[in-house]
Amino acid sequence: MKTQALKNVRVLDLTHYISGPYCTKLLGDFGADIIKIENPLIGDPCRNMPPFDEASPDRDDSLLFQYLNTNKKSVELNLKSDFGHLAVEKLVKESDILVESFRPGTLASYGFTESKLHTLNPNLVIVSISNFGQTGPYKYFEATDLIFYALGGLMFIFGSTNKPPLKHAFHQAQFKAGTNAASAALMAYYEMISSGDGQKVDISIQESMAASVRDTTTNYAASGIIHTRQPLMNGELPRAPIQVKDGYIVPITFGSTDWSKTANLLEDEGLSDAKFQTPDGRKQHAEEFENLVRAAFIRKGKHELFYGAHSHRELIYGLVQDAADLLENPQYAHDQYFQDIGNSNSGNPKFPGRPFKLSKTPWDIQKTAPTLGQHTEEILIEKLKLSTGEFQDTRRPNEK
Amino acid sequence: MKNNGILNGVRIVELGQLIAVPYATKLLSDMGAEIIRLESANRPDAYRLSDFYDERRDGKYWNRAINFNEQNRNKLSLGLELDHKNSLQCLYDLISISDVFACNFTPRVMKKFGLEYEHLQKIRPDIIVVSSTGYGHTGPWSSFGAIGFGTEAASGLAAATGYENGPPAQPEIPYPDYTAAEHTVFAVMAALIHRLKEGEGQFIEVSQTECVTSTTPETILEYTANKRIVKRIGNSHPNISPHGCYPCKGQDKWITITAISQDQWKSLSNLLFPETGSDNRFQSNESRIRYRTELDKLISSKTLLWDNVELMTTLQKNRVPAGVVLNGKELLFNEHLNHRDFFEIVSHHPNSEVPTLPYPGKPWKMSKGSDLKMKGAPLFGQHNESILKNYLGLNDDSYDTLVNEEAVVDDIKLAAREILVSREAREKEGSIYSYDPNFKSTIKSYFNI
Repeated sequence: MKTQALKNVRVLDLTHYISGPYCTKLLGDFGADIIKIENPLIGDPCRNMPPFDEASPDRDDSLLFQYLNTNKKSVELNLKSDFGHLAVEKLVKESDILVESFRPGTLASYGFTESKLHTLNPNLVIVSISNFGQTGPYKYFEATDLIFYALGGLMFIFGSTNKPPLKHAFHQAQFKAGTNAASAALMAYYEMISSGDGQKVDISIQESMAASVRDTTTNYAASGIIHTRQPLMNGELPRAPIQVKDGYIVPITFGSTDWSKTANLLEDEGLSDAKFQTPDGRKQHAEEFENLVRAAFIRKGKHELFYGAHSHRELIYGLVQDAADLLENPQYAHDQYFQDIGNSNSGNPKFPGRPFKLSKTPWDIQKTAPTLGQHTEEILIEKLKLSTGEFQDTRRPNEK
Repeated sequence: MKNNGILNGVRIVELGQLIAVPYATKLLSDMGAEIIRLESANRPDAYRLSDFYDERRDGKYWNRAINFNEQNRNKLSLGLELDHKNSLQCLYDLISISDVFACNFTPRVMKKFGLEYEHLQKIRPDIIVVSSTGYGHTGPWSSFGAIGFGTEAASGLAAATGYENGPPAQPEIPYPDYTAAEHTVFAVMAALIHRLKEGEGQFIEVSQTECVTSTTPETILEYTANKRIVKRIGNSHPNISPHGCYPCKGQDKWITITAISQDQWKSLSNLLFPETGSDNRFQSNESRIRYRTELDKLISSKTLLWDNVELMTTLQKNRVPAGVVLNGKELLFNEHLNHRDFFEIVSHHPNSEVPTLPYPGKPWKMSKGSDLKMKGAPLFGQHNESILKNYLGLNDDSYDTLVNEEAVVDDIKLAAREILVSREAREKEGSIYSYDPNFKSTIKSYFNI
């Protein structure tokens, strides 16, 4: 076994749901030791989030949770209790990075202010992930992924101009913030190695979105333009999925330079008509053009078009793949991308594997996701040497 | 405390087009890393040749390309035509004094120029090499070119996204490039930490498609566990209702609203339609999911009477998740982001003829070492002389020879171009939402620049 990049990096994980756990999953999958603190008896609410393996006896065991919590040890701890407080103090002293995703101010209300944490451990990198950051007028705003798409600027330019703005399926904003949080944690840790001083990192999920919406703000600042959603075809191919015989394809062309290649690929005589050879001509006959294009695409299969496009230089079509297609995809197979890294007895669920490859310090799953409190005893009694009497206290929720 | 930034002292040579690599190195350069961008006049970055400040396409308009300038702030530009044998030697020499080499060429092109990891490792044993490609560095799809609209389709995300009963949908940006770049930053940091501790470099392979699949586990899990293909349901949520985007007063004004807990539902319904409080269809989340279409219609009929910002504020006061759909201008002037000084104010080289502008900031705030003063993006080839003479020690004669044989370039030989369609016309035909001719003064006064 090769060594891992983040071997011996100790992470205290006080996060739940998606963004924080994805952050610590990235750290853990590349070698960091993750101790995940969970609310006694209830645990991370992500344990109840779909999808589930419905046909298996483990059907109450969230597959999303299993994905997000590989390589972690679970400790049940009531942060409001004296014992919980003491245990966290000890864990803070033995950690390099603390990641938390409480509502702003909550961790401090448990007695763990930034200054207290840095008194306990001056090297500590503290990463706080929250909806809108630790400061500002929205800091207590409630949000879900939907709200981040709206307030992060991606939604206004997503969808059709004649329909409501749209968002991606699932939880992209939270994954995005989790990735950025992991990078920021490593930057602060990198600095700590040389300076010996920890610091505090503030991650706002809204800002993770707003940082990566390309030209929405810049186009206004530099040209007075406000962009909108996908307009009607109007004489050009849409840069959006279009229906074909057995699915969808994204026809990507750059301007009008390679129109003849597209016409060749579609093998449609009507589209080779002289009037469609220039952008102006296509615009003038936009409706006829659109009808012909749509009809030509529907006659072709998605693989025929995708592989055909790539055998023509410069045409780089996109192949819309659903989960069934992904499982059959030769590139994913080559990369051995999907892996069984869950706990399900059925053995059916396949999970996304390594997101990228590090040649010398590989991604590795040494532990599947923990059951709630699976490592409470190992960490609190064997590692921290807390006494069993005190330990009983951890499972009593809402004390004090 | 390093006031030069956490990554001060890290030097990265970048051979990257468009977004996936340049956005990653932008995030690293924002933290103090020195980025040397290799540029070609024969094959300029497509970002140099689209979207210009105030749409001016005269003179050296490639120095006014706004998306390029946004994404390449703080970087240095070296104009080097790699087809020249002497240029390649310059690149190798540069890599020998750098920490990271990041590239988004296909493996075929990397090999052609001798830029594969095995070769670069001989030049600099502890070099970190990044290859970021659409589908992977090896394998049956590795030679396929890609941009974000293609990788998003392939990743599995697009198939699950879109209006109910409609085709798959994608936003108007190459979304996967950013996801891949964010993962690349993490990968580079992990590799830098390993190098700092063990003195060993390595090769990082990023598949832009697989990065997105990693942030979309739901679709593959639902299929492999339950043999179900996720259906496209617009903004709706399979397990929560209401969960949607609703129209408000004004042209193209929208608000997103959801209610997860019963308390949130009560606050929402009391505010918007107290008269239907006893409607049995909407009493539980399960029932609201069943009558989702009816409920969304009802909510829309009420939100239409509201100003979207006022409604958001009122709902949030009652702890109901709500957010207005911000367009580019509204995002730029968003009170919360500006309270947090999110936007970076960047001044440009006077020869670019671009004024000081606000650009999207970093996705993190750090108590130490993240408040660097930003420098404007480089002019094409701006740092040729300083890099080749000061870093590589070329003497005047050798430098002049490279310039004379056009191996080193600081100009793109392209004539001024006409504006094909004016902003006013684009507004009229609906391909943009709006054009504000007073944007310059608006920006100046709001950001006090």
